[in-house]
Amino acid sequence: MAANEKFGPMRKGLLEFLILKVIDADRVYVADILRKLADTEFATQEGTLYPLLSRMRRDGLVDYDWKESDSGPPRKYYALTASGQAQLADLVAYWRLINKTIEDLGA
Amino acid sequence: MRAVNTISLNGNAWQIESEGCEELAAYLKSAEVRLAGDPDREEILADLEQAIADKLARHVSAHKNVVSAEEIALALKEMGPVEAGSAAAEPGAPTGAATPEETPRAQAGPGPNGNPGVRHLFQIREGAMLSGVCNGLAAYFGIDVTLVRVIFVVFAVLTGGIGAAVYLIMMIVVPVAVTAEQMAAAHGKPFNAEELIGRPPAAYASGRHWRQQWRDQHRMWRHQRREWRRQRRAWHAFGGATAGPPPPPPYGGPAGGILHVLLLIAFLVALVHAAAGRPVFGWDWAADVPHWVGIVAVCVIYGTLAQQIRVARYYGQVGVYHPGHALVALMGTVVWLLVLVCVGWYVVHHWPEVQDFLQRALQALQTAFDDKQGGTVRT
Repeated sequence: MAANEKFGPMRKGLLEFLILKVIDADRVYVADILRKLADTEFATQEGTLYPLLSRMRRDGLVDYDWKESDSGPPRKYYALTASGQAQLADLVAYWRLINKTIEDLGA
Repeated sequence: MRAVNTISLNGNAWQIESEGCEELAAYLKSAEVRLAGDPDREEILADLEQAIADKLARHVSAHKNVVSAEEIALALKEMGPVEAGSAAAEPGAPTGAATPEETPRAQAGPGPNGNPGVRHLFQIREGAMLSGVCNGLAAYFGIDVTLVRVIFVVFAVLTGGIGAAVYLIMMIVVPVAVTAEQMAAAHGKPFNAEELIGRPPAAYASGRHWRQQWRDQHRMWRHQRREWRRQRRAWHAFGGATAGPPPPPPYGGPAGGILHVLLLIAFLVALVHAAAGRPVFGWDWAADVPHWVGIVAVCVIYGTLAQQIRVARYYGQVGVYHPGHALVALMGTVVWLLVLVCVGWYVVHHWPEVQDFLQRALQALQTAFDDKQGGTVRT
């Protein structure tokens, strides 16, 4: 298995983490999230994002408010819940740990 | 001109070209299937519809209120395939999210109608020459449509019109594939959402490509005919207006037309005789050569002669303006006819040798064919 074939599952697992980070940084609606991720290796599409956000909401990590927009219908603006923030903190801590392990093992 | 349907996306009406509509419906249908079991399915579907609507809004304005099929395809490509986001859908797996490039379309299980389809014979109008009978047969047997058409034409010629009658009967008897489900059955493909998503653009593209070629060809023919008519008119006007010496009459003209018709009649008579194995113009060939050689020979001779007359007539008209071209064409035609006459003379006077050659050629063909068959059986 070539290395880049192993990236797929890694990205897949990290996408939720990244979305928590994006939502934590700012109040965003789906198009904002897509735009922020578009230039990264985590570029994603509505077809993936809507179902994922829906599940994250069911898990109690995020919630949304309806907000009127200047153009078009009202939009769902997402924000982290308390448990979402707690999980993000856990994830960030764990990510640092992994990074540190990788660095320490050298190469 | 393209047909337009009006549909509702998350409570707002949109006017969309029919082909785009089908594609959109297939996408939403597939989303519904993928999200089966998701407690928030209705909400996600509404979100998806709204997201599509937002993308389509970029393409409409006060002066353009219809969304084209291409714009739909673009919007759906941007949307990406719908992935079930629920961890419950894939127990034990990490989150169901994926970046677009590693989203295998076939990953989701078969849809509700996912049983690999039983094939049915339908007429397929998309990309059809006449009624889509050959198209349907090709789909049914899973072979190239051109091959089916060639077989059909050869069959029709050899059976003297019975093939054409068969086509007519099939045209009336065989149902036409209208719905996507029937289309799937015609190809024997399972009718599920993943299949559907892939199919409409592909079928549309190939159909359009084929139609485009057909239209180009027609446009070329029309243009050519118009050019000829213009030249003929110009020549008449020129002839009528001048009091000076009249231009030389084109050596094609009406005489060429009569010659062509006579040749066609002779050809048809010869063909009927050859097909029936009767002597052609007093020559009892049937005793000496195989049946099919006679038919092929008659067709080849007619084709060659008719081509010469066509060329002669065309340059006969052009010749008024370009005497040089006409002269070259005339020389070409004369040389061709001379060659034909020589070949004919040789065949008649050296018949045994020709017969011998034909037989040896046939034998060589037979041997080659047998070898090939033997090879296939052995492997």
